[in-house]
Amino acid sequence: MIPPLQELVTSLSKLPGIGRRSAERIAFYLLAKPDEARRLGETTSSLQEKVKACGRCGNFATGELCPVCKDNKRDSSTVCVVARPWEIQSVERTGEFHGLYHVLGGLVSPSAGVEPDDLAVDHLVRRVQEEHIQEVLLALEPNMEGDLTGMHIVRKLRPTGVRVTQIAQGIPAGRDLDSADEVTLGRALRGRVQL
Amino acid sequence: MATLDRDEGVVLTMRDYAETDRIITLLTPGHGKLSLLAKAARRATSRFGGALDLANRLQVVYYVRRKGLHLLREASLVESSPGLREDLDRLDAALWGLALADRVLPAESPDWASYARVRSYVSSLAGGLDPSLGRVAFSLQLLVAAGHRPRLEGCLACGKGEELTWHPERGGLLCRQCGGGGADVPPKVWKSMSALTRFPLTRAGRLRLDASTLSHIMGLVEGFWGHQLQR
Ligand SMILES: [Zn+2]
Ligand SMILES: [Zn+2]
Repeated sequence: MIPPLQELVTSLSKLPGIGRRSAERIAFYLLAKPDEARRLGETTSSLQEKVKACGRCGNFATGELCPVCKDNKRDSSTVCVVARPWEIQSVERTGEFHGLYHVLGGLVSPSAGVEPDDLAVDHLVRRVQEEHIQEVLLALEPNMEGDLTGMHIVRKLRPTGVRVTQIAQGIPAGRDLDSADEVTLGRALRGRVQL
Repeated sequence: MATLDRDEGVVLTMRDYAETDRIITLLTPGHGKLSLLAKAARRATSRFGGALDLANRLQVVYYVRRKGLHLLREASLVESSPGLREDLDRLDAALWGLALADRVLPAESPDWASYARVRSYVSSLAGGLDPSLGRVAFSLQLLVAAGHRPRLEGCLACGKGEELTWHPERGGLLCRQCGGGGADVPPKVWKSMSALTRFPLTRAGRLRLDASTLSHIMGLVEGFWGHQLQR
C-alpha cells in the first residue's frame, strides 16, 4: 500500500471498534468520495477547539454552558454525578432523568494516583451550596473505586445536609436471577427498596 | 498452541483496556504478581460478572501467552470483602495497600509471604482493623515479606541501643558514634516498629500506638521502601 493510504489506515485502525480490514475499507471509501473526506477532515480537525467543558457541570459544550445547563425546563434541584462527560449521553437516552449533571473527571483511584482533590468534588460542594440543590444522585461505576469515590463525596457533602442518593445496582434487565453472580446479586440485595 | 494455567489471587489493580476489555493484576501465591487481559469484561453481559473487582479473591484459569498479556478464561469469586464498603477510611486504606503491593512487588515471581500479608491486610480491615495502624503495619510487614526486613535491634555496627539514627541505605539503625547524620529515631519509635514486624495485624491494636508514633514510623518506612525500590 502506498504511504498516504497506509498512514490513513494506520490512524483509522487505532479508533475503537475498527480493525485493520474495516480501516482499509473506510480508507478506499474516502478516496472515492472526496466531499465526504473533506468534511470529515474539517470536522475532526476543529473538534478540540469547538468542544469545551461546560463551566457549570463539565458536560461537553460549545459555549460557556452546555445544552442541559442552558435548558431552563430542567429540574435544577437535582444533580446527577457522573465520572466522565460521555456518560451523560447514556443517562439522557433513558429519558428518566430531568435534572442537571456534574462531571467529576474520573474516579478516585489509589493505583492510578487519582485523589479526591484531583476531581471536581469541591466544585460539587460549592454548587450544592450556591445553587440550592436538594438531591445529589450518584451514578458511578458499581465497583470498589466507584464506591470509594461515592463515599468521599458523601463525606464532603455531609455538612451541607443535602440528600445524597445512588442509582440502583444489580441484575441487568432481561437477565435471569440465577444467571447473576453473587457479587452482582449481593449489590442488588443491599440496594433493595420498599414497595 | 496456548497452554492453560490456574491459580488464585487477590485483585490489586484493574484498568480499562480497548473498548470493552479490562486488564487486572492479581497477587497470587504461585505466580506472584500476574496481569491478565479480561476480554469484554466491561459489557453488561460479561461472563466474569461482578467478580473482577479490587480486593476480591478469585480462582482464575488463563491462557499463557509468550508475547503480550496472558488471557483470562475463567474467574470465580472465592471471597469478597463487603465489610470494606462500610467505612470510607477502611476502604481507602485497603485500596491504598493493594496499590502499594502492585507498585513494590516484582511481576511473576512466586511469593507466598507477600500473598499472605495482602490477604490478611484486606480481611483485617474488613473486620474492623484501625486503618491508620493497618497502613503502617502492612507497609512494614510487606517490606519484611519482600525480603527487605529493616534491622531494628539497635546500632548495626556496635549494637548500642541509644542515640540511634535512621539509615535506609544500610538497612537499619546506626548510633551517633558509628554513623550519625541520619534522622533521629527515639527508642519508642524503633521499638514499636520492631514489634509491628512481629505482631499479626489482628493483634497490632494491642500495641496502643499513638498517632504521632504511627506517622513517624510511616515516614521511616516510606524512606526505606524508596531506597529498596531504587536498587
Ligand atoms: Zn452544563
Ligand atoms: Zn554504634
